[in-house]
Amino acid sequence: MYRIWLIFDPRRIMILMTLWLAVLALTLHFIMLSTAKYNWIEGSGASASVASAQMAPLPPSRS
Amino acid sequence: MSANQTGLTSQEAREFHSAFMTWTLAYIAVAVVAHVLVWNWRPWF
Repeated sequence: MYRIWLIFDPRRIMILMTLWLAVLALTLHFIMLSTAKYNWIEGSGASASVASAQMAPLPPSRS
Repeated sequence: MSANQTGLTSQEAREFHSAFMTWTLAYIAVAVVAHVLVWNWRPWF
């Protein structure tokens, strides 16, 4: 298995892997952000519904 | 086509490979922890 480094230059492979993993990570994180369920910034779903549940409507005024 | 095109000796290739595998496994371990945390937050199945 180690012979692979006799064929592929470790420096080039490490640079390519770093770039590839960075692009892959950015892509996947932004895909997650684009979904409603996994958008950890907007925080929709569980936490948001709790906040909206606490705001009860005003009682009708007597005038 | 000789086996050695990168100028490394077999010993150097062995050393690099062991470090490469160690770091790869470390990377996978971090990814597994991250996925476990996300699963606990919001399971995807």
